[in-house]
Amino acid sequence: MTDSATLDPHRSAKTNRILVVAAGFEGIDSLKSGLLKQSAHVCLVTDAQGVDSPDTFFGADFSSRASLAQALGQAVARLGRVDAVVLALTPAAALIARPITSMSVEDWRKACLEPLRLARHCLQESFRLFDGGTGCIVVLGPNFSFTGSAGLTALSTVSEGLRGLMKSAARQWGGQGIRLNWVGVDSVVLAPALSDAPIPLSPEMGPPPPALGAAPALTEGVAETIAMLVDATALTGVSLPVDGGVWMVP
Amino acid sequence: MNDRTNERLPQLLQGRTALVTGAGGGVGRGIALAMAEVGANVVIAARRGSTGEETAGLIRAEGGQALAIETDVTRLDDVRRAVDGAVKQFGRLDILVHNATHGASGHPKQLEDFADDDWDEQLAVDLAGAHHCALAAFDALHANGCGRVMLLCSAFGLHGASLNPAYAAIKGGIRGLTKALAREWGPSGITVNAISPAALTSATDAFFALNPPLRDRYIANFPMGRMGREREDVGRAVAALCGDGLAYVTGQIIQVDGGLYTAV
Repeated sequence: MTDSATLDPHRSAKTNRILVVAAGFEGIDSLKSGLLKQSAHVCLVTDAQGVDSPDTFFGADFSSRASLAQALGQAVARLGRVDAVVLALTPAAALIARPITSMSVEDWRKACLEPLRLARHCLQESFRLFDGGTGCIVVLGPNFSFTGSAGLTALSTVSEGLRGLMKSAARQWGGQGIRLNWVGVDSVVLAPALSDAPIPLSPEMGPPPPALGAAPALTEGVAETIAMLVDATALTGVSLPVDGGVWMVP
Repeated sequence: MNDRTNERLPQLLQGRTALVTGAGGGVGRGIALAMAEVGANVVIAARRGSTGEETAGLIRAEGGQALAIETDVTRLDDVRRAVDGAVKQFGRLDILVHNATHGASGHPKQLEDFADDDWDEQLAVDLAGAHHCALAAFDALHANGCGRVMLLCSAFGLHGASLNPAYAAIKGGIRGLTKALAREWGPSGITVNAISPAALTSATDAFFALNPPLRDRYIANFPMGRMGREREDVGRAVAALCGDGLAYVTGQIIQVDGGLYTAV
């Protein structure tokens, strides 16, 4: 049995085929196992290094749209059809907390402009994969996107830029039945490299947030939300903070 | 309309120096004129020297102080030169307004059709340009202990307009940068805010000329019944936000749009 096998075929009326595109993302195993628990068939393409398994393609080259298309092609061949694409884009250069004034032009290009370009490529290729049919795209981002953070000007720019792009695509492609939504994952759950970043705390003066006591894990709350969004045919352009209740926006 | 816009305004920015990118026309020119109107010395950073000089000439004709410096914000050296020019001419830089945006940002385009060149060119002006402004201006803004940065956002970045996904991404990015930079530069006494204007410019005019019914439908959404004027509505709002009365406001994206976007 491969790890794309459905673990609980009765849990969902429809077994979704989900393609995860992960750039610089450390949580690939957790996210994948979480989605499998949600009865999905999952195939993952990542730029991380590793030994390919039947449903995980390591070492993908995301440096151009053509190379991205090639990497995704392998996964699509494996899945057959794609119902949803999950984008987990946390490029290493954007995760380095540092003052903007310390960033050279080249640093900014790598930390801000290139990640936004990759995000666009991913959306364009996802659109192509749906081949004129319906589909769902779920974009994962850090929940500090709503507040910004000192030291993370590039990542803040990328994250909010991607959220704007997600909404724009949701408007352009909605008529075709392609839905896009954004999930604001606890920043450190999404990218452990951010654990030392000065991410702002909630101004809540009572018990420390999150309200639910813990940040939802990729394997549980985040995967559950992705599965919900894949099936939620009435939702598009939505930004959902899946952080256990921190800033509680909007 | 109860219009009191011709009254002499309080000199909120007397003695301050403001640098405005993209001030050769449109909203940028409106901001530059409004800044000068309330006493600021204004450095016009425009990509085309001729339009920058035009704006500077308009300011001088009204008795204001202005200096035009040809500036391509996609080049760090150009932005450094503009900042240096401001300090050399006026002795200080207090306010930076990064307004420049790419000419194609108002052109409708499907996301799937974007090629790298087109995308990169648009992001270079707003997002690389913003980085260049931050690099070039920080020391001068910090030196005075009351620096102000104003970035130009758009409702398109908030609601993710379908018109041009690059513009939605850019203006969303500016929103993120505003919040992060406000947190980063707050301890240095520099406020960072953005406005999200809706102004009738030559660019919006040209766009609506292609589709007059769209113009009427769009303008009907404005509670104030009209789109904003570059100088009187948008420029003066920016000038007010840069005054001492709003020194404790930072990290905000402020709608200057006649009530169009109230969903924030």
